[in-house]
Order: sequence, then C-alpha cells, then structure tokens
Amino acid sequence: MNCEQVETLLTERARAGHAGAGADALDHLADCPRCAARLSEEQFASAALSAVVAEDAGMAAPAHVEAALLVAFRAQAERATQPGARTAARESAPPLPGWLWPRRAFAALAVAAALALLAVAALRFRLTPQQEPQTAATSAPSQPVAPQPRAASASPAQENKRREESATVKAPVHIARRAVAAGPRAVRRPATRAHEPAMELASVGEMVVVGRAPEAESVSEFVPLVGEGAPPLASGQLVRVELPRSALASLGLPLGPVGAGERIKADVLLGDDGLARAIRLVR
Amino acid sequence: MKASPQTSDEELWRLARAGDEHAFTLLYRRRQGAIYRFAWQMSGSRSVAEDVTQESFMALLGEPERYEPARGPLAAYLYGIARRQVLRRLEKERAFVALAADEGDSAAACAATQPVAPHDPLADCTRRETVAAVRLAVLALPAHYREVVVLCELHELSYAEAAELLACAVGTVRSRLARGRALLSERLRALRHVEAEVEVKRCCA
Repeated sequence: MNCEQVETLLTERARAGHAGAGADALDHLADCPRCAARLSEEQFASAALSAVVAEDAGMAAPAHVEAALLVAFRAQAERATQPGARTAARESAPPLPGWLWPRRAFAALAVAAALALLAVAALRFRLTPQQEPQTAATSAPSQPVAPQPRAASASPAQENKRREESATVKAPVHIARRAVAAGPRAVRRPATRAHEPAMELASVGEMVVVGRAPEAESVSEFVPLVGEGAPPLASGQLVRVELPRSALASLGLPLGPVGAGERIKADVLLGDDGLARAIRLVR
Repeated sequence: MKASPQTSDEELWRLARAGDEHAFTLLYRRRQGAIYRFAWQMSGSRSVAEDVTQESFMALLGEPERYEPARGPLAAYLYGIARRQVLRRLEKERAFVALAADEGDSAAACAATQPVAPHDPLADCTRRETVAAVRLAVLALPAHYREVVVLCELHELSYAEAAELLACAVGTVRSRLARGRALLSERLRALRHVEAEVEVKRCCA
C-alpha cells in the first residue's frame, strides 16, 4: 500500500481508530513518517471534534424561542377552528379542479404576451406626436409619471453608462397603471417605490397613480397592436410606461436628435383579457 | 393516540397538526437542540442560531403540507430547512465573526465558565481553548465542507443520512468530509503544537 492509497483511508481510520486498519496499511504507517504524521493529525482533529460534541451536548435554544413558537401554534390552531378562516379554508378546500389550471396558465401566458407586444410596439412605433384631445372612449385623463431623480451633475461617462443600463435592463423603468374607470379612486403608492423596475405590469393589485393630468399634455394617436380578429375590448386599463429615449433609439426607432437623454412616456391600453390593444406616446 | 416521549416524530407532528399543543411541544423539545446546534456551529452566531431554529419550526407550522413522511424523517426535513436558512444567511452576510464576541476570548472563557474537572483547572482551560479553536476552524471552512463536517462529525450523522439531507451522493459526502477534515487538521496544527508544549511543561512541573 502506498501513500496515496493510505491518504484516502486516513479519515476513516482516524474516525474508527486503528481497529479498522488493515495490516498492509499499518505496515505502511509504521514505515512512512509522513503518513504517520497525517494520521496523527487526523486523530487529533477527531479528538478535538469530539470535545466540541461533548461541549455542545446540552446546548439548546433559549426559552423565548419555544414561547414564540407556542404563540404561533396557538394562533394557527385558533385560525383553523374559525369557520371561513383562510388557512382552514385552504387546508380543507378540495384541490383546484383540473380545468382551472389551464385557465391560470392561460392568464399567465396572456400577461407574458402583453409584455412581448409592448416590446414589439416599441419597435414598430414611429414617433409622430401631435396635439390631440383625449379619446374619451378609451382613456381617462392622462397622468404624469413622477420624474426619475437624477444626479445634478452626472459626468458624460456616467450618463452613458446609465443609458446603457437603461437600454439593456431597465427599459420599462416606470409603469403607472390605473383602471380606466377607476380614476381618482386608484391607489397611491408610496413614492419610495416609484422608481422600482416596473415589472408590476404582469402583476395584479395596487399600482401607481402619480398626481393629476396636466391639461396641456399631448399625446400621439393610438397605434393598434392587435389585428382585426381580436375579440372586442369590453374593458381594460391604461398603462403608463416610461422609457428612456436612448433605449428606444437603441431599438431602431427614429426619435429625432433632440433630448436623447430624456425619458419617453407611453400609454398602453391593456384589455382585461391581458392583451395589449394599443399604444400611444405622451409628451 | 396520546403524545408521549416515546411517540415518534412523525406521529407527534400528525397530532400537532390536529391541534395537539402538547405533541408540538414534545416535538419541539426533542428536535430544537440539534437544529440550534447545527445553526450555531454553521454560523458561529447565537442570534442566528435562535432565528434559524425559530424560523425552521415556523416554516414547519406555516406550510405543514410540505412535509411528506414518505420522503424521509421529520428530523431530516427540519435539518434541511435549517440548512437552507443558514446558507441563505451566510450568502447574505458572507462571514460571521460573532463567535469571539459571543464567547469572549479564550482566557475569558476559561475564567468565566464552570470547570468540568475541578481538580485540574489547567486541563479544563486547555480543553475549552481547544473547543474554541475548533469552532473557529470549522467556521473558517468553506460552507460545503463545513456542513459535511458539522453533520457527520458534530452531529454524528451517517454518510447516507448526510447525503440525503444535502441531496448529494454518499461518495460526495465522503470526499467532502475527507477534504474538510484535512483543512481542519491544517488549521489545528498550531493548536496541536501548543498543546504538546503545555503537556511537556506539565510533565516537567
């Protein structure tokens, strides 16, 4: 038996003691000082670890942990006994019928498709903004999105870096959504979250309404995003998106040379079925 | 069936799910020590160990349906939760160095703790220093070696149990343990020399 073979057995021998060592291994250990030293080290480590095991044997979590868990247990047990409690209902409710899963999956796909359509719309859109009154049938008064706070004196390098980041990752930086009919009742979200990447498009729940629409906001015409065969729009929501102009330009849109660092707002009409029906730019 | 100390973990948990607080208490008291020790030995922080212990049982309470007895013992399931919690915290904070703060330096530890062998205070102090040094050496191991060393050496799990808990092959556990112990031995080498010198001095005295 050579050193390499003994090395692979050292841990086992140190853990088991010499009782587990074969005669050939013992012969090698007797003849090889290096392997004997390694075994000695391993045995020392075993003894040291055993000391830790003995030291920690009585170790236990403090009493307040048990107390907190018992409080949680009682609360949960109490909820479970209440009729109509959410937990109890969830536990006692039968599993979702098989037909409901495809519908959920379809809803998720619809949201994903809406996001994809947004990207396509950004590619297709040609910016020809014009002054236009609000289209009453499909839109509530437009509302501005809170401006992105920026450093007052960013260097050109910093500005370029910021643009690149915006173009690659954070293209839809701001999304403010409001129900078409909800108007002033829409929920206002804390300003501290207003700058978060706007993945909320795919979610449901509270969204941002920032301020009230200025009277002189100009919008372009809505550009349809769906074909003739799409189901009619029963109801929907207007989604405010804010994109950096540089991001749109990087996608090939002829946005003109002015204000390359600006952010561009757009409204997307999103049906309740998850389909993005139309888009317009806002100035 | 009434919960008793002889009742299996799985049965206790079944009773607890049915609202038996006594069963839950028994289960907690039976398993909390191992979970707490595991978290403490992996993180070196008592506060983390407390949090992980509490959160592990809270996770069990919060999502009782996730534990399936057919897939393994409840103890392994709890270890698994604790392991994920600890690794998440390690990843988040990268390094815990609270061990020294928690335990104080070795001299203070020697002075403050009750001697186990009152007739040989030097041996007791040396043992405590050894324990503290081993703890630090374990904490200095990379996480994937550390968890194997903690589970197999400090919690005395078998290779198969550790492999199931870590979701890896038994051979992986074996090789990680060998490597982890080798690293540990390297770190303990200095301590070993110190202890040898102390032993020589004692013999001379």
